[in-house]
Amino acid sequence: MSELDTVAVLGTGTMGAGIATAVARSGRQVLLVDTAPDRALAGRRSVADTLATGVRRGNLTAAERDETLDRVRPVSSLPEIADAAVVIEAVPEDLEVKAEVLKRVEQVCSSEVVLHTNTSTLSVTAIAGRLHRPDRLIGTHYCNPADRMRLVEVAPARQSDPAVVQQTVEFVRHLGKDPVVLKDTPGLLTNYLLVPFENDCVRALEAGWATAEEIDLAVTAGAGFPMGVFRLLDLVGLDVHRAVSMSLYDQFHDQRFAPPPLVARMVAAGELGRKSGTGFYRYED
Amino acid sequence: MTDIGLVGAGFVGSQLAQRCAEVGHRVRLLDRDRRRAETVAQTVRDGAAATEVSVVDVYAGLAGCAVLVEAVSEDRACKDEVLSALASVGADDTVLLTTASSYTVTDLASALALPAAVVGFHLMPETKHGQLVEIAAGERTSPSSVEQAEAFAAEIGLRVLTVGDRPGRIARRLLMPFLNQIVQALDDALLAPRDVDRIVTLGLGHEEGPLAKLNRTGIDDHLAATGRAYELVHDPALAPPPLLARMVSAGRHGDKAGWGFEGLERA
Repeated sequence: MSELDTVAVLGTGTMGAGIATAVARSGRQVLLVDTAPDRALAGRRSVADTLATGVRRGNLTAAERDETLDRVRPVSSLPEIADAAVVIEAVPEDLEVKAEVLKRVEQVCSSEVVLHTNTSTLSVTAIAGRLHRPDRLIGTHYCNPADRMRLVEVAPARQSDPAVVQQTVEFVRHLGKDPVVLKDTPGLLTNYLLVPFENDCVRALEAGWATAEEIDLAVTAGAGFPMGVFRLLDLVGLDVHRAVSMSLYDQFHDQRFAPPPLVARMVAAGELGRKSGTGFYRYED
Repeated sequence: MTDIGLVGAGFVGSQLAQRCAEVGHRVRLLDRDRRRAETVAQTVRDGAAATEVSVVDVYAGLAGCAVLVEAVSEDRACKDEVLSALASVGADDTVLLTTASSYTVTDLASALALPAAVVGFHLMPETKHGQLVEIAAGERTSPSSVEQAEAFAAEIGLRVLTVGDRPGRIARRLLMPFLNQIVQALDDALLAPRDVDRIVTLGLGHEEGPLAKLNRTGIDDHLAATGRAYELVHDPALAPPPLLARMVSAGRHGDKAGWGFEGLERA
Protein backbone atom coordinates (compact mmCIF):
# COMPACT_ATOMS: atom_id res chain seq x y z
CA MET A 1 0.00 0.00 0.00
CA SER A 2 1.14 3.56 -0.51
CA GLU A 3 1.14 6.28 2.12
CA LEU A 4 -1.87 7.84 0.44
CA ASP A 5 -4.00 4.81 1.09
CA THR A 6 -6.78 5.07 3.59
CA VAL A 7 -7.06 2.92 6.71
CA ALA A 8 -10.41 2.17 8.32
CA VAL A 9 -10.58 1.42 12.03
CA LEU A 10 -13.74 -0.33 13.19
CA GLY A 11 -14.66 0.18 16.82
CA THR A 12 -14.27 3.31 18.88
CA GLY A 13 -13.44 1.88 22.30
CA THR A 14 -10.06 2.22 24.01
CA MET A 15 -8.26 0.05 21.46
CA GLY A 16 -10.00 1.44 18.36
CA ALA A 17 -9.35 5.06 19.33
CA GLY A 18 -5.77 4.27 20.33
CA ILE A 19 -5.03 2.46 17.07
CA ALA A 20 -6.69 5.27 15.06
CA THR A 21 -4.40 7.74 16.82
CA ALA A 22 -1.31 5.70 16.00
CA VAL A 23 -2.30 5.33 12.33
CA ALA A 24 -3.14 9.02 11.91
CA ARG A 25 0.19 9.95 13.53
CA SER A 26 1.96 7.94 10.82
CA GLY A 27 0.50 10.26 8.17
CA ARG A 28 -2.31 8.09 6.85
CA GLN A 29 -5.95 9.03 6.44
CA VAL A 30 -8.14 7.25 8.98
CA LEU A 31 -11.81 6.46 8.81
CA LEU A 32 -12.98 5.83 12.35
CA VAL A 33 -16.06 3.70 12.04
CA ASP A 34 -18.96 3.07 14.36
CA THR A 35 -22.46 2.43 13.04
CA ALA A 36 -23.80 4.63 15.83
CA PRO A 37 -22.96 8.20 14.65
CA ASP A 38 -22.58 9.56 18.19
CA ARG A 39 -20.08 6.82 19.02
CA ALA A 40 -18.05 7.56 15.89
CA LEU A 41 -17.91 11.21 16.98
CA ALA A 42 -17.01 10.20 20.54
CA GLY A 43 -14.20 8.05 19.12
CA ARG A 44 -12.78 11.05 17.31
CA ARG A 45 -12.99 13.06 20.53
CA SER A 46 -10.96 10.32 22.27
CA VAL A 47 -8.33 10.70 19.56
CA ALA A 48 -8.35 14.48 20.11
CA ASP A 49 -7.94 13.96 23.88
CA THR A 50 -5.04 11.56 23.40
CA LEU A 51 -3.33 13.99 21.02
CA ALA A 52 -3.90 16.89 23.44
CA THR A 53 -2.21 14.85 26.18
CA GLY A 54 0.67 14.24 23.78
CA VAL A 55 1.05 18.01 23.26
CA ARG A 56 1.03 18.62 27.02
CA ARG A 57 3.76 16.02 27.45
CA GLY A 58 5.80 17.54 24.65
CA ASN A 59 5.50 14.51 22.35
CA LEU A 60 4.06 16.52 19.48
CA THR A 61 3.43 20.15 18.56
CA ALA A 62 0.04 21.84 18.44
CA ALA A 63 0.36 22.03 14.65
CA GLU A 64 1.07 18.29 14.44
CA ARG A 65 -1.93 17.65 16.66
CA ASP A 66 -4.20 19.62 14.31
CA GLU A 67 -2.82 17.94 11.19
CA THR A 68 -3.19 14.51 12.76
CA LEU A 69 -6.74 15.15 13.89
CA ASP A 70 -7.63 16.44 10.41
CA ARG A 71 -6.72 13.01 9.06
CA VAL A 72 -9.30 11.26 11.27
CA ARG A 73 -12.83 11.23 9.85
CA PRO A 74 -15.69 9.72 11.85
CA VAL A 75 -17.84 7.45 9.70
CA SER A 76 -21.09 5.70 10.57
CA SER A 77 -21.96 4.00 7.31
CA LEU A 78 -19.92 1.01 6.21
CA PRO A 79 -20.08 1.65 2.42
CA GLU A 80 -17.96 4.78 3.04
CA ILE A 81 -14.91 2.59 3.71
CA ALA A 82 -15.11 0.90 0.28
CA ASP A 83 -11.76 2.34 -0.82
CA ALA A 84 -9.81 1.51 2.34
CA ALA A 85 -6.63 -0.51 1.70
CA VAL A 86 -6.43 -1.77 5.26
CA VAL A 87 -9.31 -2.34 7.66
CA ILE A 88 -8.47 -2.80 11.34
CA GLU A 89 -11.23 -4.40 13.36
CA ALA A 90 -11.27 -3.49 17.08
CA VAL A 91 -14.85 -4.33 18.04
CA PRO A 92 -15.76 -6.24 21.24
CA GLU A 93 -13.86 -9.47 21.96
CA ASP A 94 -16.48 -11.92 20.75
CA LEU A 95 -15.98 -14.32 17.86
CA GLU A 96 -19.53 -13.86 16.53
CA VAL A 97 -19.41 -10.08 16.71
CA LYS A 98 -16.00 -9.89 15.04
CA ALA A 99 -16.94 -12.37 12.30
CA GLU A 100 -20.19 -10.54 11.50
CA VAL A 101 -18.48 -7.16 11.22
CA LEU A 102 -15.70 -8.54 9.03
CA LYS A 103 -18.18 -10.31 6.73
CA ARG A 104 -19.95 -7.00 6.18
CA VAL A 105 -16.60 -5.34 5.45
CA GLU A 106 -15.89 -7.99 2.81
CA GLN A 107 -19.15 -7.06 1.09
CA VAL A 108 -18.21 -3.38 0.69
CA CYS A 109 -14.42 -3.49 0.20
CA SER A 110 -12.33 -4.73 -2.73
CA SER A 111 -10.92 -8.24 -2.84
CA GLU A 112 -7.45 -6.68 -2.34
CA VAL A 113 -8.25 -5.22 1.08
CA VAL A 114 -6.14 -6.43 4.01
CA LEU A 115 -8.18 -7.16 7.12
CA HIS A 116 -6.61 -6.93 10.58
CA THR A 117 -8.37 -8.32 13.62
CA ASN A 118 -7.17 -6.87 16.92
CA THR A 119 -7.93 -9.80 19.14
CA SER A 120 -6.35 -10.55 22.48
CA THR A 121 -7.76 -14.04 23.12
CA LEU A 122 -9.49 -15.45 20.04
CA SER A 123 -8.15 -17.70 17.32
CA VAL A 124 -7.42 -15.65 14.19
CA THR A 125 -7.85 -18.85 12.20
CA ALA A 126 -11.34 -19.35 13.63
CA ILE A 127 -12.34 -15.81 12.62
CA ALA A 128 -10.82 -16.28 9.16
CA GLY A 129 -12.81 -19.48 8.78
CA ARG A 130 -16.01 -17.44 8.79
CA LEU A 131 -14.92 -15.20 5.93
CA HIS A 132 -15.42 -15.36 2.20
CA ARG A 133 -11.73 -14.51 1.68
CA PRO A 134 -9.93 -15.96 4.73
CA ASP A 135 -6.55 -15.40 3.08
CA ARG A 136 -7.00 -11.61 3.48
CA LEU A 137 -7.25 -11.73 7.30
CA ILE A 138 -4.42 -11.46 9.82
CA GLY A 139 -4.31 -10.87 13.58
CA THR A 140 -2.63 -7.73 14.91
CA HIS A 141 -2.59 -7.30 18.67
CA TYR A 142 -1.74 -3.82 19.91
CA CYS A 143 -0.80 -3.20 23.52
CA ASN A 144 -2.74 -0.63 25.53
CA PRO A 145 -2.27 2.36 25.19
CA ALA A 146 -1.98 1.67 21.49
CA ASP A 147 -0.75 5.16 20.57
CA ARG A 148 2.33 4.77 22.79
CA MET A 149 3.19 1.07 23.15
CA ARG A 150 5.64 -0.10 20.51
CA LEU A 151 4.93 -3.81 20.41
CA VAL A 152 2.44 -5.22 17.92
CA GLU A 153 2.01 -9.00 17.86
CA VAL A 154 1.26 -10.15 14.32
CA ALA A 155 -0.43 -13.54 14.06
CA PRO A 156 -1.19 -14.93 10.61
CA ALA A 157 -4.21 -17.22 10.40
CA ARG A 158 -3.49 -20.63 8.90
CA GLN A 159 -5.23 -19.31 5.81
CA SER A 160 -3.36 -15.96 5.56
CA ASP A 161 -1.72 -15.13 2.23
CA PRO A 162 2.07 -14.76 2.79
CA ALA A 163 1.88 -11.42 0.94
CA VAL A 164 -0.63 -10.21 3.54
CA VAL A 165 1.81 -11.15 6.30
CA GLN A 166 4.61 -9.20 4.62
CA GLN A 167 2.40 -6.16 3.97
CA THR A 168 1.23 -6.19 7.58
CA VAL A 169 4.76 -6.31 8.97
CA GLU A 170 5.63 -3.31 6.78
CA PHE A 171 2.43 -1.52 7.81
CA VAL A 172 3.28 -1.92 11.50
CA ARG A 173 6.86 -0.74 10.93
CA HIS A 174 5.51 2.31 9.13
CA LEU A 175 3.54 3.15 12.28
CA GLY A 176 6.91 3.36 14.04
CA LYS A 177 6.11 0.20 15.97
CA ASP A 178 7.87 -3.15 16.38
CA PRO A 179 6.05 -6.09 14.80
CA VAL A 180 6.70 -9.59 16.13
CA VAL A 181 5.29 -12.42 14.04
CA LEU A 182 4.18 -15.48 15.94
CA LYS A 183 1.89 -18.46 15.50
CA ASP A 184 -1.83 -17.95 15.90
CA THR A 185 -2.37 -19.11 19.46
CA PRO A 186 -5.05 -17.89 21.88
CA GLY A 187 -3.81 -14.84 23.78
CA LEU A 188 -0.75 -14.60 21.53
CA LEU A 189 2.28 -14.40 23.80
CA THR A 190 1.40 -11.40 25.99
CA ASN A 191 -1.93 -12.66 27.32
CA TYR A 192 -0.87 -16.30 27.08
CA LEU A 193 1.84 -15.49 29.66
CA LEU A 194 0.22 -12.71 31.64
CA VAL A 195 -3.26 -14.10 32.30
CA PRO A 196 -2.18 -17.35 34.01
CA PHE A 197 0.47 -15.41 35.97
CA GLU A 198 -2.24 -13.02 37.17
CA ASN A 199 -4.49 -15.93 38.09
CA ASP A 200 -1.64 -17.57 40.02
CA CYS A 201 -1.28 -14.34 42.01
CA VAL A 202 -5.03 -14.23 42.71
CA ARG A 203 -4.96 -17.85 43.87
CA ALA A 204 -1.98 -17.06 46.14
CA LEU A 205 -3.97 -14.19 47.63
CA GLU A 206 -7.04 -16.36 48.05
CA ALA A 207 -4.92 -19.06 49.72
CA GLY A 208 -3.68 -16.49 52.22
CA TRP A 209 0.01 -16.54 51.27
CA ALA A 210 0.18 -12.77 51.70
CA THR A 211 -1.83 -9.57 51.21
CA ALA A 212 -2.37 -7.94 47.81
CA GLU A 213 0.22 -5.27 48.69
CA GLU A 214 2.75 -7.92 49.68
CA ILE A 215 2.23 -10.03 46.56
CA ASP A 216 2.53 -6.88 44.44
CA LEU A 217 5.85 -6.19 46.18
CA ALA A 218 7.04 -9.74 45.41
CA VAL A 219 5.99 -9.34 41.78
CA THR A 220 7.68 -5.96 41.25
CA ALA A 221 10.76 -5.80 43.49
CA GLY A 222 11.15 -9.59 43.38
CA ALA A 223 10.07 -10.94 40.00
CA GLY A 224 10.86 -7.74 38.06
CA PHE A 225 7.40 -6.92 36.69
CA PRO A 226 6.88 -3.21 36.01
CA MET A 227 3.65 -3.01 37.98
CA GLY A 228 1.96 -5.04 40.69
CA VAL A 229 -0.50 -7.60 39.37
CA PHE A 230 -3.33 -6.42 41.61
CA ARG A 231 -2.77 -2.78 40.59
CA LEU A 232 -2.84 -3.92 36.97
CA LEU A 233 -5.98 -6.03 37.38
CA ASP A 234 -7.74 -3.09 39.05
CA LEU A 235 -6.80 -0.97 36.04
CA VAL A 236 -7.90 -3.57 33.49
CA GLY A 237 -11.15 -4.27 35.34
CA LEU A 238 -12.04 -7.52 37.08
CA ASP A 239 -14.95 -8.12 34.69
CA VAL A 240 -12.66 -7.77 31.68
CA HIS A 241 -10.07 -10.04 33.29
CA ARG A 242 -12.67 -12.69 34.01
CA ALA A 243 -13.89 -12.62 30.39
CA VAL A 244 -10.33 -12.81 29.01
CA SER A 245 -9.47 -15.67 31.38
CA MET A 246 -12.63 -17.57 30.53
CA SER A 247 -12.03 -17.19 26.80
CA LEU A 248 -8.50 -18.58 27.17
CA TYR A 249 -9.66 -21.37 29.50
CA ASP A 250 -12.33 -22.40 27.00
CA GLN A 251 -9.59 -22.89 24.42
CA PHE A 252 -6.76 -24.38 26.52
CA HIS A 253 -8.66 -26.23 29.27
CA ASP A 254 -5.64 -25.64 31.50
CA GLN A 255 -6.67 -24.64 35.02
CA ARG A 256 -4.05 -21.84 35.23
CA PHE A 257 -6.18 -19.92 32.73
CA ALA A 258 -9.43 -20.42 34.64
CA PRO A 259 -10.56 -17.31 36.52
CA PRO A 260 -10.19 -18.05 40.25
CA PRO A 261 -13.36 -17.98 42.36
CA LEU A 262 -12.23 -14.77 44.05
CA VAL A 263 -12.47 -12.97 40.70
CA ALA A 264 -16.05 -14.17 40.23
CA ARG A 265 -16.98 -13.08 43.75
CA MET A 266 -15.48 -9.64 43.23
CA VAL A 267 -17.35 -9.19 39.94
CA ALA A 268 -20.59 -10.33 41.62
CA ALA A 269 -20.01 -7.77 44.37
CA GLY A 270 -19.42 -5.00 41.85
CA GLU A 271 -15.76 -4.70 42.86
CA LEU A 272 -14.48 -4.20 39.34
CA GLY A 273 -11.31 -2.27 40.14
CA ARG A 274 -10.50 1.34 39.50
CA LYS A 275 -13.63 2.09 37.51
CA SER A 276 -15.93 1.07 40.38
CA GLY A 277 -13.77 2.58 43.13
CA THR A 278 -12.99 -0.79 44.72
CA GLY A 279 -11.05 -3.78 43.55
CA PHE A 280 -8.04 -5.33 45.24
CA TYR A 281 -7.36 -1.77 46.40
CA ARG A 282 -9.67 1.14 47.24
CA TYR A 283 -9.69 4.31 45.17
CA GLU A 284 -10.87 7.68 46.42
CA ASP A 285 -11.71 9.93 43.46
CA MET B 1 28.14 -1.66 63.92
CA THR B 2 27.73 -5.42 63.83
CA ASP B 3 29.95 -8.33 62.84
CA ILE B 4 28.52 -10.25 59.93
CA GLY B 5 29.85 -13.66 58.93
CA LEU B 6 29.17 -14.51 55.33
CA VAL B 7 29.82 -17.88 53.69
CA GLY B 8 29.81 -17.95 49.88
CA ALA B 9 31.34 -15.20 47.75
CA GLY B 10 29.17 -15.80 44.69
CA PHE B 11 26.56 -13.46 43.23
CA VAL B 12 24.32 -13.32 46.31
CA GLY B 13 27.20 -13.30 48.80
CA SER B 14 29.00 -10.46 47.08
CA GLN B 15 25.84 -8.34 46.94
CA LEU B 16 25.25 -8.89 50.65
CA ALA B 17 28.89 -8.10 51.47
CA GLN B 18 28.56 -4.86 49.53
CA ARG B 19 25.35 -3.83 51.25
CA CYS B 20 26.68 -4.72 54.73
CA ALA B 21 29.89 -2.77 54.20
CA GLU B 22 28.00 0.27 52.89
CA VAL B 23 26.11 0.65 56.16
CA GLY B 24 29.22 0.14 58.29
CA HIS B 25 28.97 -3.49 59.35
CA ARG B 26 32.21 -5.44 59.72
CA VAL B 27 32.10 -8.30 57.24
CA ARG B 28 34.01 -11.57 57.54
CA LEU B 29 33.91 -13.54 54.33
CA LEU B 30 34.52 -17.27 53.92
CA ASP B 31 34.58 -19.14 50.62
CA ARG B 32 36.11 -22.53 49.85
CA ASP B 33 37.84 -20.66 47.01
CA ARG B 34 39.86 -18.14 49.02
CA ARG B 35 40.81 -16.13 45.92
CA ARG B 36 37.16 -15.59 45.07
CA ALA B 37 36.56 -14.25 48.58
CA GLU B 38 39.64 -11.99 48.27
CA THR B 39 38.36 -10.62 44.95
CA VAL B 40 34.95 -9.79 46.41
CA ALA B 41 36.52 -8.23 49.53
CA GLN B 42 38.80 -6.09 47.37
CA THR B 43 35.90 -4.97 45.15
CA VAL B 44 33.94 -3.89 48.20
CA ARG B 45 36.97 -2.04 49.63
CA ASP B 46 37.55 -0.33 46.28
CA GLY B 47 33.99 0.95 46.39
CA ALA B 48 34.39 2.58 49.80
CA ALA B 49 37.72 2.88 51.57
CA ALA B 50 36.31 3.02 55.12
CA THR B 51 34.69 -0.41 54.92
CA GLU B 52 35.90 -3.32 56.97
CA VAL B 53 35.86 -6.54 55.02
CA SER B 54 38.14 -9.42 55.90
CA VAL B 55 38.58 -12.92 54.56
CA VAL B 56 38.72 -15.88 56.91
CA ASP B 57 39.79 -19.44 56.17
CA VAL B 58 38.04 -21.45 58.84
CA TYR B 59 34.60 -21.39 60.43
CA ALA B 60 36.15 -20.60 63.82
CA GLY B 61 37.03 -17.23 62.32
CA LEU B 62 33.31 -16.42 62.21
CA ALA B 63 32.79 -16.93 65.96
CA GLY B 64 31.30 -13.90 67.66
CA CYS B 65 29.34 -12.69 64.61
CA ALA B 66 25.82 -11.58 65.49
CA VAL B 67 24.55 -12.51 62.04
CA LEU B 68 25.75 -15.56 60.10
CA VAL B 69 24.70 -15.88 56.49
CA GLU B 70 24.84 -18.97 54.31
CA ALA B 71 24.94 -17.87 50.65
CA VAL B 72 26.35 -20.96 48.93
CA SER B 73 24.94 -22.60 45.83
CA GLU B 74 21.43 -24.05 45.91
CA ASP B 75 22.58 -27.63 46.43
CA ARG B 76 21.36 -29.64 49.38
CA ALA B 77 24.71 -31.16 50.35
CA CYS B 78 26.43 -27.72 50.24
CA LYS B 79 23.65 -26.10 52.23
CA ASP B 80 23.70 -28.81 54.91
CA GLU B 81 27.47 -28.76 55.26
CA VAL B 82 27.71 -24.98 55.60
CA LEU B 83 24.69 -24.61 57.88
CA SER B 84 25.91 -27.26 60.28
CA ALA B 85 29.38 -25.66 60.39
CA LEU B 86 27.78 -22.25 61.04
CA ALA B 87 25.54 -23.67 63.77
CA SER B 88 28.65 -24.97 65.52
CA VAL B 89 30.21 -21.49 65.75
CA GLY B 90 26.98 -19.61 66.55
CA ALA B 91 26.11 -18.45 70.05
CA ASP B 92 22.67 -18.47 71.67
CA ASP B 93 21.79 -15.01 70.36
CA THR B 94 23.19 -15.51 66.84
CA VAL B 95 20.79 -15.44 63.92
CA LEU B 96 21.60 -17.87 61.12
CA LEU B 97 20.32 -16.81 57.71
CA THR B 98 19.99 -19.17 54.75
CA THR B 99 19.57 -17.80 51.23
CA ALA B 100 17.93 -21.05 50.10
CA SER B 101 14.58 -20.72 48.36
CA SER B 102 13.77 -24.15 47.04
CA TYR B 103 14.15 -25.99 50.35
CA THR B 104 11.97 -25.26 53.33
CA VAL B 105 13.64 -23.58 56.28
CA THR B 106 12.08 -26.21 58.51
CA ASP B 107 13.77 -29.00 56.61
CA LEU B 108 17.18 -27.28 56.49
CA ALA B 109 17.09 -26.38 60.20
CA SER B 110 15.79 -29.60 61.68
CA ALA B 111 19.10 -31.44 61.97
CA LEU B 112 21.04 -28.42 63.24
CA ALA B 113 22.16 -27.58 66.75
CA LEU B 114 20.36 -24.20 66.64
CA PRO B 115 17.05 -24.68 64.78
CA ALA B 116 15.49 -21.68 66.54
CA ALA B 117 18.16 -19.38 65.05
CA VAL B 118 17.63 -20.35 61.41
CA VAL B 119 15.72 -17.91 59.21
CA GLY B 120 15.10 -18.05 55.46
CA PHE B 121 16.67 -15.03 53.76
CA HIS B 122 15.93 -15.36 50.06
CA LEU B 123 17.48 -12.49 48.12
CA MET B 124 16.06 -11.64 44.69
CA PRO B 125 18.03 -9.72 42.02
CA GLU B 126 18.00 -5.92 42.09
CA THR B 127 15.15 -4.27 40.14
CA LYS B 128 14.10 -0.68 39.52
CA HIS B 129 11.67 -1.20 42.42
CA GLY B 130 14.55 -2.03 44.75
CA GLN B 131 15.89 -5.38 45.90
CA LEU B 132 13.62 -7.81 47.67
CA VAL B 133 14.43 -10.27 50.41
CA GLU B 134 11.87 -12.83 51.47
CA ILE B 135 12.21 -13.71 55.13
CA ALA B 136 10.73 -17.02 56.19
CA ALA B 137 10.49 -18.72 59.56
CA GLY B 138 10.61 -22.50 59.83
CA GLU B 139 8.43 -24.41 62.27
CA ARG B 140 11.11 -24.21 64.98
CA THR B 141 12.41 -20.69 64.28
CA SER B 142 12.05 -18.30 67.21
CA PRO B 143 10.15 -15.02 66.77
CA SER B 144 13.18 -13.08 67.98
CA SER B 145 15.32 -14.60 65.20
CA VAL B 146 12.76 -13.41 62.64
CA GLU B 147 12.79 -9.93 64.16
CA GLN B 148 16.59 -9.84 64.04
CA ALA B 149 16.54 -10.93 60.39
CA GLU B 150 13.96 -8.27 59.51
CA ALA B 151 15.94 -5.56 61.26
CA PHE B 152 19.17 -6.65 59.55
CA ALA B 153 17.48 -6.67 56.10
CA ALA B 154 16.01 -3.20 56.62
CA GLU B 155 19.40 -1.88 57.81
CA ILE B 156 21.15 -2.99 54.63
CA GLY B 157 18.50 -1.34 52.45
CA LEU B 158 16.49 -4.32 51.28
CA ARG B 159 12.75 -4.37 50.69
CA VAL B 160 11.51 -6.90 53.20
CA LEU B 161 8.68 -9.35 52.80
CA THR B 162 8.04 -11.87 55.56
CA VAL B 163 6.46 -14.94 54.05
CA GLY B 164 5.51 -18.52 54.87
CA ASP B 165 7.97 -21.40 54.68
CA ARG B 166 6.93 -22.48 51.16
CA PRO B 167 9.20 -23.91 48.48
CA GLY B 168 10.15 -21.02 46.18
CA ARG B 169 8.67 -18.63 48.77
CA ILE B 170 6.43 -16.19 46.80
CA ALA B 171 8.33 -14.26 44.12
CA ARG B 172 10.12 -17.28 42.65
CA ARG B 173 7.19 -19.59 43.20
CA LEU B 174 5.13 -17.27 40.97
CA LEU B 175 7.93 -16.62 38.50
CA MET B 176 8.92 -20.23 37.81
CA PRO B 177 5.66 -21.26 36.06
CA PHE B 178 5.90 -18.07 33.97
CA LEU B 179 9.43 -19.04 32.86
CA ASN B 180 8.47 -22.67 32.29
CA GLN B 181 5.61 -21.59 30.07
CA ILE B 182 8.01 -19.48 28.01
CA VAL B 183 10.39 -22.40 27.56
CA GLN B 184 7.49 -24.62 26.49
CA ALA B 185 6.34 -21.94 24.00
CA LEU B 186 9.81 -22.14 22.41
CA ASP B 187 9.64 -25.92 22.25
CA ASP B 188 6.20 -25.55 20.64
CA ALA B 189 7.84 -23.21 18.07
CA LEU B 190 5.29 -20.47 18.70
CA LEU B 191 8.03 -17.93 18.07
CA ALA B 192 11.79 -17.37 18.03
CA PRO B 193 13.80 -16.82 21.26
CA ARG B 194 14.66 -13.22 20.39
CA ASP B 195 10.98 -12.48 19.80
CA VAL B 196 10.10 -13.81 23.27
CA ASP B 197 12.45 -11.30 24.84
CA ARG B 198 11.16 -8.50 22.60
CA ILE B 199 7.55 -9.21 23.55
CA VAL B 200 8.23 -9.47 27.27
CA THR B 201 10.31 -6.28 27.36
CA LEU B 202 8.33 -4.15 24.90
CA GLY B 203 4.86 -5.54 25.63
CA LEU B 204 4.99 -6.55 29.29
CA GLY B 205 7.49 -3.86 30.27
CA HIS B 206 10.18 -6.02 31.87
CA GLU B 207 13.65 -4.51 32.11
CA GLU B 208 15.36 -7.69 30.91
CA GLY B 209 14.14 -10.40 28.54
CA PRO B 210 13.40 -13.66 30.38
CA LEU B 211 15.65 -15.74 28.13
CA ALA B 212 18.56 -13.32 28.47
CA LYS B 213 17.98 -13.53 32.22
CA LEU B 214 17.94 -17.35 32.21
CA ASN B 215 21.18 -17.30 30.19
CA ARG B 216 22.71 -14.97 32.76
CA THR B 217 21.52 -16.76 35.89
CA GLY B 218 22.00 -20.29 34.59
CA ILE B 219 19.58 -22.57 32.77
CA ASP B 220 20.80 -25.47 34.90
CA ASP B 221 19.98 -23.50 38.06
CA HIS B 222 16.45 -22.85 36.86
CA LEU B 223 15.99 -26.51 35.94
CA ALA B 224 17.17 -27.60 39.38
CA ALA B 225 15.04 -25.04 41.22
CA THR B 226 11.81 -25.72 39.38
CA GLY B 227 12.42 -29.48 39.55
CA ARG B 228 12.83 -29.34 43.34
CA ALA B 229 9.77 -27.14 43.73
CA TYR B 230 7.79 -29.61 41.62
CA GLU B 231 8.90 -32.52 43.82
CA LEU B 232 7.61 -30.72 46.89
CA VAL B 233 4.40 -29.24 45.50
CA HIS B 234 3.46 -31.48 42.54
CA ASP B 235 2.00 -28.52 40.67
CA PRO B 236 2.34 -29.29 36.93
CA ALA B 237 3.15 -25.63 36.25
CA LEU B 238 6.41 -26.21 38.15
CA ALA B 239 7.32 -29.38 36.23
CA PRO B 240 10.48 -28.68 34.22
CA PRO B 241 9.59 -28.44 30.53
CA PRO B 242 11.45 -31.08 28.46
CA LEU B 243 13.43 -28.45 26.51
CA LEU B 244 15.15 -27.36 29.76
CA ALA B 245 16.35 -30.89 30.46
CA ARG B 246 17.56 -31.31 26.86
CA MET B 247 19.48 -28.05 26.99
CA VAL B 248 21.12 -28.89 30.29
CA SER B 249 22.02 -32.41 29.10
CA ALA B 250 23.68 -30.84 26.07
CA GLY B 251 25.67 -28.42 28.24
CA ARG B 252 23.64 -25.38 27.17
CA HIS B 253 23.70 -23.83 30.64
CA GLY B 254 23.70 -20.18 29.54
CA ASP B 255 26.38 -17.49 29.57
CA LYS B 256 28.73 -19.38 31.90
CA ALA B 257 28.86 -22.26 29.38
CA GLY B 258 29.11 -19.99 26.36
CA TRP B 259 25.75 -21.04 24.99
CA GLY B 260 22.15 -21.26 26.08
CA PHE B 261 19.19 -19.63 24.37
CA GLU B 262 20.65 -18.38 21.10
CA GLY B 263 19.88 -15.52 18.73
CA LEU B 264 18.95 -12.99 21.41
CA GLU B 265 19.57 -9.30 20.92
CA ARG B 266 22.66 -8.22 22.83
CA ALA B 267 21.80 -5.92 25.72
